[in-house]
Amino acid sequence: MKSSFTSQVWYRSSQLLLGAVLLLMIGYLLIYTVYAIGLMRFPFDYDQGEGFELQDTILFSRGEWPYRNNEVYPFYASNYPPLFHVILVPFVWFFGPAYWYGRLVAFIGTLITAYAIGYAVYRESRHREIALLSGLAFLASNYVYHVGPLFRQHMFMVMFETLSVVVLAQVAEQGWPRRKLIAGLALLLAAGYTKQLALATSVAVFGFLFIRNPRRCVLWGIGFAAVAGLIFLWINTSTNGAWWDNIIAANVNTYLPHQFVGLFKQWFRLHAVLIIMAGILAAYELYFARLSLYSVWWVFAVLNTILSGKWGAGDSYFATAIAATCILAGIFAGRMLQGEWTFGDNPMTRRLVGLRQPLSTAARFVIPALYLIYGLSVLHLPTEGAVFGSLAETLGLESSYGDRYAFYDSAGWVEGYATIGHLPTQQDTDNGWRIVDVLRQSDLPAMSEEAAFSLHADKDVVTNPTQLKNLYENHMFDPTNLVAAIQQHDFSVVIFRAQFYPPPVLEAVYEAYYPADMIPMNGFNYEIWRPGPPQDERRAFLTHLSTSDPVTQIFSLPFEQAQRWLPHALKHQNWETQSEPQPNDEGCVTETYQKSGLVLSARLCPVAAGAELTLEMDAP
Amino acid sequence: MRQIFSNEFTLTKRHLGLLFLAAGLLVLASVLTAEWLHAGGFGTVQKMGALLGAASLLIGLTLLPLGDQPG
Repeated sequence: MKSSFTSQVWYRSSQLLLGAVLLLMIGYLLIYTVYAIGLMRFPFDYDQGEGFELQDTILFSRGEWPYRNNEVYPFYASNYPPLFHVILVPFVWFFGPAYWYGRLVAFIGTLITAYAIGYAVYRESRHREIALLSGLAFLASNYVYHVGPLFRQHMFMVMFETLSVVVLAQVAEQGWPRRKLIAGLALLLAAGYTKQLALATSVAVFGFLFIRNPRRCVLWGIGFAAVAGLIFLWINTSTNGAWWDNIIAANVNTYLPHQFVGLFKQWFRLHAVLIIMAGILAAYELYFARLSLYSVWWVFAVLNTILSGKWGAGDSYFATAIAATCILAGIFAGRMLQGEWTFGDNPMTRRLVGLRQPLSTAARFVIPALYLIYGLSVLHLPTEGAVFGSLAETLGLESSYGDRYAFYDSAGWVEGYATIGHLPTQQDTDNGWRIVDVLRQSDLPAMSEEAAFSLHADKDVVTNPTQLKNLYENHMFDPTNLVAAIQQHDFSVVIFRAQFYPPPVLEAVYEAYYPADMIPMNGFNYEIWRPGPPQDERRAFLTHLSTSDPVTQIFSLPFEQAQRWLPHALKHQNWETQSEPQPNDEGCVTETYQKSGLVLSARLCPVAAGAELTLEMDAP
Repeated sequence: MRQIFSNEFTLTKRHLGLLFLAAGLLVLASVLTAEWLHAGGFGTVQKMGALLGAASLLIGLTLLPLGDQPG
């Protein structure tokens, strides 16, 4: 009687704990949904590079390839495979260029991934709550949260990878059904043509098929390679080799081992309990059962995170490993609760049989407790707004980013970790439109580090900075044409956010433009660089700087603009400001500078043609 | 060889052990070759490689005794 009562209390308490964990995970889903909706309403780049994915989609909607020669105007090419953008093409036809549909489709992709994870766990464990927890655990991850609803193809790749693995996981047990193999491998192909990183999942899938039956692996592998190769050749031929340059060669970036180590430690810290559960199941399968596709995939996905150390890579490179971890951890949890472990019959394992029931009983508490630990370790939420502000205050949480934006993230920060996750404000949107207005003031195109401003101003998207930087560092981009365009002021303004351009391009901007304004948006400062004097006047100015005689030069730049350009131009030539600007009654302004023991007096006066500059050089 | 490419053949734990051993040796050989070619200290990447190679060797060795159980 007493024993029955104790087990009832134990059962009820464990159910309560499981319910609490499910509520916590549903809470994360709500936060994630609010965040996704917030991003869909924001009409500018939230994460750098989103606008270029929109530009790729626009190019596809016109029947053009985004894989092109970077050395001619508009100096633009994409470094991503086409599938995500091609899928979005109908949205461009119906709604024109916009960010919301890319973010919506990516967000739905993560929900499909979570569903597939839950389905896989349920199929293996027949435990509904654990299946639900597994899917929700994926969405609760800090990494998935902040990358999931971006206009980026990465999470769509993870969706295809997960679907492929879930479809193919049981093909051997089911007698190698042809349709399932075709469907699973088609999904794998889709993952690869969404993002190159899916290569590791392809290796995992064929590794698993090889373990189960080398003959079928080789035969299906030949077919798969033929289809993938033909598509590759077709695109490469159609783009005159630009596909190879931009997709393969441009992705050979500098490797930063410390970035990978930092991200790996962070990933392990946040997902430790799930990783440990997944690791135990993989070890169990390796030594006591048969290796499943999930375990093989998990190993390769974790190994593939090594690539997160590449320059430009980051925490999103762990998303596949997180999906695989959630599946394995879920299956482990289900088996613990159902007591479904099988071991070979020997004296050692016979003793373990007696432990099965107590282990299963203990698991009723331990498993939900482990998910609770996970839920608490990935804590993240916005810290402003009617609901989130009060919640954050109740929990005693403050923004991890101070005044920059309102978001608490237990992940902390390491190099390569994207500092996003907050909700964009109305002020961010207003400031974005202010930048668009700057572009609209001229008929010329602008060179912007983000595409949104050009797209909204109905101008050409000029340059894809990181792509040019990657190509330049691989000796595959000659910046001569772009530098010449900058020097002759072919662009109305230059918009910088992170200055991720090749050094010669940056140098040309520093020489030909000057920082005129700074507009904050989304926690980043967007610098508006305006054209300085024309090229011949700048050349004459540099010549004058090298002479010791007093010299006067007329600039066609209006006086107010010349006042802002001059200190920048002199600083660019390593002249340090020595005194504050001294205005006189004629409206002139005199300022002194010094460099290598020389003192330079620069007097700037307004004249009808623009501005008159008088330079006098003295030894101190 | 004909047996390996039959519709019924499947890798055993011993086969897996041999694959792990081969992979571990390959990784360790690569790490040592890299060290020999670029003698600039044993860097982070090489340490990671050495760790992975050693782990692979260890797993391979422990799988060998499991014999013909299906992999």
